[in-house]
Amino acid sequence: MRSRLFNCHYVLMPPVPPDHDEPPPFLGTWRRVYMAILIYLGAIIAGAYLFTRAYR
Amino acid sequence: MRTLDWVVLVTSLVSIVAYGLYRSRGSNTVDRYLLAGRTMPWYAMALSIMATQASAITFISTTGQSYVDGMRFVQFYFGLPIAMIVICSTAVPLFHRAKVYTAYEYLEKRFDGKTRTLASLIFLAQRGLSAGLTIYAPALVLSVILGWPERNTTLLMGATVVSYTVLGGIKAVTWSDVQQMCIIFLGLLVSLITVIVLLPKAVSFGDAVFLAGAAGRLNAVTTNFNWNDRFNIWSGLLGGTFLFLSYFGCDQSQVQRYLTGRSVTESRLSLLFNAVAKIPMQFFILFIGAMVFVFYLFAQPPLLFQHAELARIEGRGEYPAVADRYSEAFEDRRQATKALVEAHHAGDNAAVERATGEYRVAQKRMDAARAEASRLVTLSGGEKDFSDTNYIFLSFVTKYLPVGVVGLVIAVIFAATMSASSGEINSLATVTVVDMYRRLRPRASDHHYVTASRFATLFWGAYAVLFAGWGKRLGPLIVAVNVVGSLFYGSLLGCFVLAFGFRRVGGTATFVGMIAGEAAIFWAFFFTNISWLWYNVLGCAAVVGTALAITYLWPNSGPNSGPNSGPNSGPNWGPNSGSSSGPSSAEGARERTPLRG
Repeated sequence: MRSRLFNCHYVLMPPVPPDHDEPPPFLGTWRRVYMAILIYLGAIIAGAYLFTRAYR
Repeated sequence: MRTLDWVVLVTSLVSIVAYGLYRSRGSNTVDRYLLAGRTMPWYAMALSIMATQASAITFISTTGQSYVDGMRFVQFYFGLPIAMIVICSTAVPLFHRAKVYTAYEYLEKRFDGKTRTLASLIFLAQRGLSAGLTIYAPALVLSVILGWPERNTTLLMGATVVSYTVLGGIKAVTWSDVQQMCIIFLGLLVSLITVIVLLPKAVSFGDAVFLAGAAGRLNAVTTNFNWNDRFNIWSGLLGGTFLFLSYFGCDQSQVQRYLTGRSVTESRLSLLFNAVAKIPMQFFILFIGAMVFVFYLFAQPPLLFQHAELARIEGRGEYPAVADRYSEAFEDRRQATKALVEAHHAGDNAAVERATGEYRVAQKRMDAARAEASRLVTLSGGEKDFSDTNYIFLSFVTKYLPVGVVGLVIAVIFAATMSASSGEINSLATVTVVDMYRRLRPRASDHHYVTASRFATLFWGAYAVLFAGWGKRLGPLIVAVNVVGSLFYGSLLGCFVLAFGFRRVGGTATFVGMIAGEAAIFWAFFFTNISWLWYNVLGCAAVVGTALAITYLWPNSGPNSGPNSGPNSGPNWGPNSGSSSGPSSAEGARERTPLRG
């Protein structure tokens, strides 16, 4: 029973066929694009935090 | 509003509508009317997504919120880029590949008809309510400017939006959105520059930022964790991520934007543009509100920003004393502000602290006088818990902005309403026809469905106008919209999480899970003080947990036991059925297999 429950937790996203998953127009792969956006988010939050600290 | 303002306003609106209708020529099939023939470029979708989300409420209420509470509302958007990445890597390719018209159509392919119907009903309920609020906000603008009753202005706004949406379909909506966003960006920039120019000559931009900070209006990040606090970095990152996952991944008003894309790449780019641009845009709007606050440090703001309510209490015996206390407190605050600027220029920290203390005391007295005035409104037969936050920016615009700029700002608010409302009503009509009506009449002609879509648009427009009358009872509008959304989004999100990530969970388990999720959310809404940002997390967890428990306890409720009638069960769209209804085609049947294991 336990194993059946855990079976439900498989990551079961069907792989997207290569012809649908075209590369992005910049940075080569989508993984790199997503990583760049996460870094951007981190920079935005850090900037907003410093802004708050500087003007409170 | 003077003649030049009317010229700017009318010219902007007519050009937007005319351009949108011009670009929508040939939207005479269901595929073109509802999905623009899947031909839209990424930048049009990106601006349409942004315009649909940035309603007039964004400008009216967010600036007011910043005026009274500072900029911490921006944290609400911290989860958005994370949500966009998740959606780009999961929902976008799946929806594109399934060639669906609505997100809920996909649920029938994955689960069964009843799950699709329940999800559609949840969407129709919550988006119908939100559409009312979206129309109510600009109707408020007209009400303030023209002195008309809100009911009349609501009706006028609703009629304009509906007629434009009925005629043009999604192509008109999207291309109008592009123009509307250009006007919105221009209007925002002009507003900020004007506010700064209107500051006293002795106050530089740097001084204005310093004063806003000293007044606690630049509190963009709050790191303290509190379940009951709506806006802190944690609720933004976690609660915001779930809310935006729901909004952009499960809400047809957004999904339909990126379903119109030429390819998966174009759709992804449109979402990622929003991931990058949305936070700076919100920061910018909130900053305008903070600058309006600084402006009012030197020019006395009205005791209440809603003139009709102010007029209502002016005849009361208590009013003169309250008004006097308010004026005295303002004068003390103005003196303290001047002392603060001088101390800042002199670099005298001790004097800065002293002036800040005096400023805060005066501010508290002003707040107390305003609270007393709000109480008088209630005592005079006005709203209980009266709030004039939504009127702050409008009051400032109409009183202080120069001729022409007033018309531009009002055009911004109208443009935002048109874009948000038309997108909402268009998506409501799409779900009504695709997920409800065509299942009752599956063999009708393409022309019949286009006509049905137009009538559905008309119906939802009328529904939104009727609900708009209820909007003012929900408090600050920007919050009201998100509260309404949060009551339903968690369940929808849980349903799609199960669809994308849990192969063994079937339709019945998901259906029961969604009901449990809604029950959990409404329990939290009525019986706890948990902030609405957490409802999405709670609802999603309840759906997933319940469905997994059912799958675990009753294994036969799995994917093969549901009433899903198979890949050939989808109703026809007539001549386009081969390419648009997905599961009835060989490609759809092949692609459906891995989802069901």
